[in-house]
Amino acid sequence: MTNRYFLLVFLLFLIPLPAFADDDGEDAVEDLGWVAIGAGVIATVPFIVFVKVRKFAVKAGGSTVQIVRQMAPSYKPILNFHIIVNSIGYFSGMLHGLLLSSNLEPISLSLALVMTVLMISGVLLRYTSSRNAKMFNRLLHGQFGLVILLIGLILLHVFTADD
Amino acid sequence: MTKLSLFLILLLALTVTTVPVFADDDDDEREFGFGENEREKERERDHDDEREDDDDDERIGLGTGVSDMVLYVTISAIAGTIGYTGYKIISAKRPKLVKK
Repeated sequence: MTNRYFLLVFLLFLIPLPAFADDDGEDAVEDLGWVAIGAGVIATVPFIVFVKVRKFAVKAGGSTVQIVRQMAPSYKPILNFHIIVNSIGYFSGMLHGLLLSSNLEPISLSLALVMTVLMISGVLLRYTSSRNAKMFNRLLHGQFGLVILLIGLILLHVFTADD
Repeated sequence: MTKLSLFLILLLALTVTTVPVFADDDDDEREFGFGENEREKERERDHDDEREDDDDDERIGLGTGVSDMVLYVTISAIAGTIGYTGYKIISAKRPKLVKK
């Protein structure tokens, strides 16, 4: 079981590799940015949908509690998928930024800052045992404002990066 | 905690190994002699650099008004969110005073 899990993690880390299949070096670096955006969407949307559905089912009560019970075992795998694919997206994005650091502009820097804050809070939320730190990072990681800021900055970056 | 330290070590290792890629290799070129071809290449390169500089002026760079505002707003938003989260935790822990 553990071996299969490590194989899956290894295969997931190979996702950004097709970005380098391109002949042109600059295009490959640009593709890394798209890998980061794609990984972020794939990792985050299903997780948010899962959490919202579960919350809604708990609030509704009655027969929906049965659905919540059925959903419970799949929470951990979905969370692990969220962490792994988002880590891939984060490192792809950072590598994309580092390789194009000669074109650094405030929007990219802002995007890197927001990504780092969300990544650090997510990692601390998963791996700290202190109750206070967990509570702090849970609140910070789930801040709606930060998510909106991230989406806005990604859109701004995509539209202004080619100028 | 061990997993966290492992993750941080991995992050540091990745950062350290990526940085030398950006090391300037202009000095290596200066070590070689300059023949006619090298001079021509150098001239072309200078010309390209000038053209790139012109492009840079058109690009949104550090120090320009609107994009700098985006950075300041982002930093303020991050600081505000962290402060607000901390305040929420502290205020939730502090027992409320009961008026007599």
